[in-house]
Amino acid sequence: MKILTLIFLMAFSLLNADELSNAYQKEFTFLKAQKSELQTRLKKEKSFQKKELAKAKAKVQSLQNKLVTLSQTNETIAKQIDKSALMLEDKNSNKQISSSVVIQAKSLLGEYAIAVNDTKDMDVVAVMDKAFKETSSLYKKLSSVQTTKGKFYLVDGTTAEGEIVKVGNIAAYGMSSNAKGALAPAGNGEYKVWNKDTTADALAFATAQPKRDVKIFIYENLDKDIEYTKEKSIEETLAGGGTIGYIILALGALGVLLILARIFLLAKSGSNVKEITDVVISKVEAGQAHEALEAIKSYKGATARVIKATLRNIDKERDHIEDIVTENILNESSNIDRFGNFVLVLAAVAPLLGLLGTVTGMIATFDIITTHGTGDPKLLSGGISEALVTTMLGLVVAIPLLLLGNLMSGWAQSIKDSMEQSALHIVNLFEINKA
Amino acid sequence: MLALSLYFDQFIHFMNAGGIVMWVLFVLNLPLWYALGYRYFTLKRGTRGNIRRLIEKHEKRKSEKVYVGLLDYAIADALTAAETAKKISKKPREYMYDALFPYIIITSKYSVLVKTIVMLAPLIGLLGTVGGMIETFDALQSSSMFAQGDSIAGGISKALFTTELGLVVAVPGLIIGKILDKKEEQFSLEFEQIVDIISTKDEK
Repeated sequence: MKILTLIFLMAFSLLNADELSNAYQKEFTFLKAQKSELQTRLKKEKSFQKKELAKAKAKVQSLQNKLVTLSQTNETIAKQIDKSALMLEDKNSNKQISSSVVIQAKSLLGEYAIAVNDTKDMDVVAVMDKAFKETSSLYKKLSSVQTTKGKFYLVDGTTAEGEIVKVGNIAAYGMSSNAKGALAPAGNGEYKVWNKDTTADALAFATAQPKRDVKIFIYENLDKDIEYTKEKSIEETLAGGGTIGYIILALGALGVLLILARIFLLAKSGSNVKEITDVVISKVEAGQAHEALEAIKSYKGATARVIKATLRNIDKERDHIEDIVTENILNESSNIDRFGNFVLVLAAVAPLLGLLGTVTGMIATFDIITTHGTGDPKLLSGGISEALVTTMLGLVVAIPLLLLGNLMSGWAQSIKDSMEQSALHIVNLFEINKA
Repeated sequence: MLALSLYFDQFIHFMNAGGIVMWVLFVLNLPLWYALGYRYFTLKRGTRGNIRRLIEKHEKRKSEKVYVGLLDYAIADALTAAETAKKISKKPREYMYDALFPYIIITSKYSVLVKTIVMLAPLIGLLGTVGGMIETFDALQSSSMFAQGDSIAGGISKALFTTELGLVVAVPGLIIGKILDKKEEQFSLEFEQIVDIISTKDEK
């Protein structure tokens, strides 16, 4: 039974298995077909995507190119705008320049009664052209020698009628029956005869036979002589310093005198220290201390006096001699130091006075500023230059006085030192010799 | 060589930009440095060690002593002077001062010159400055509105260069001069010490 059931089961299952495998087979073929379909779809999809991507890329590329070209054109346009702005500016400034030229021409040519039309809507170029033409003809006229009829004043104040030879616009010669000569402006467009004898020169011009050298009076226009800017002389510079400048200079002169006196005094007292000492030493070393006094009798000056006093008392006790030497040197030092401190005081005072002058000059400058304002630098610079001149004078005085004064004090000190030294040396030598 | 002549040209140009005052300062600079050099070499101490030891050395070795500096010579001279004084039974102090006097002169030589030049150099620089300013203002005074030409710039460069050179001359001179003055002071103290030591030694 059991086996029967088993066999049955097996048979059944075998039958069924066949059916099942068929089913599977069917399923498999179906799935396979589906898979291949899906794969073809995938392929399609992929190629489609690729195409799309390529299309998008190309689009982006073209857009980029477009952007680049657009920005380039933008740049060039901006440059053009800048250029035109510059050109506009140039044009404007040119316009300003030309209009100012026209104004200038109008004012300049106005003096010679030549009208320049400068109404607003006129063509500036034409106006300028005309003005230049007229100016050049005027220039030619003014730079030539012309003869006109006219009158001029004589030296005694009377008027004379005659010919006036104009040398350009800067000089003129007058020719009349009673007087000939160069003319100088007398104001108001009138001439007067120059107060130097220039008859021959005037004749030379009138007859057009130019001489090699002519006396001529040159003026800027008929109201004004030529202003010559002169190089400042030393006197003028000094005058710029004012009262304080002169005070400083006076102090400086005093200082120089004192220095000279001092050089004289010091040379007198210091020149023969070594000489005297040598004479005395040779005598003392020979044991003739008392003859030494005789030997230096002819010598003059501070050193000689000190050494003489030393020799006179050389037999006394040491302390006594030293006191005498010291006292003698003190006595002489008033002479040796004479004027020394005063010179140094002058040297110290001179820059201070210069500073004082500076301050007063600045005060004057500020007074000018309060009354006239700062508009004209010429007014201001006058005061400032005055202020600086005093400082300069102060320094000019102080520097040599300081230098010489210091060197003199050094010299005086060395003279005193060497006097003391040689007196000491002589006493020592005397004692050594005596022993 | 080319660079050297270039520097020389620049120097000349610089000096001429400042005017005559620059040359005055330059000429003053030469004695200043000569004096400083002289003082530097004379104020070299040479020997180390303090005065007492130096004097002992001199007394011990006498003539074999090798002299290396100003102090050695001074001590030797002072000792000889003291001996001379002892021979004639006098106080040695005066004799030693006598012997040391040349050394005192040497140590103080040119100190006044250095001090004077150091004092003068800034003043001369200031003088140049004032001169330059005067030139500048004169130029202003005689100039028209737009034609303020060379002389203004020239005046200002004059004004600045001279002050500069004045300070350049003065400052090193001042510093080195002060150092040398200190040395000189030291020397004069040491001379005093020599005299004191030797004279007290003999009185024992």
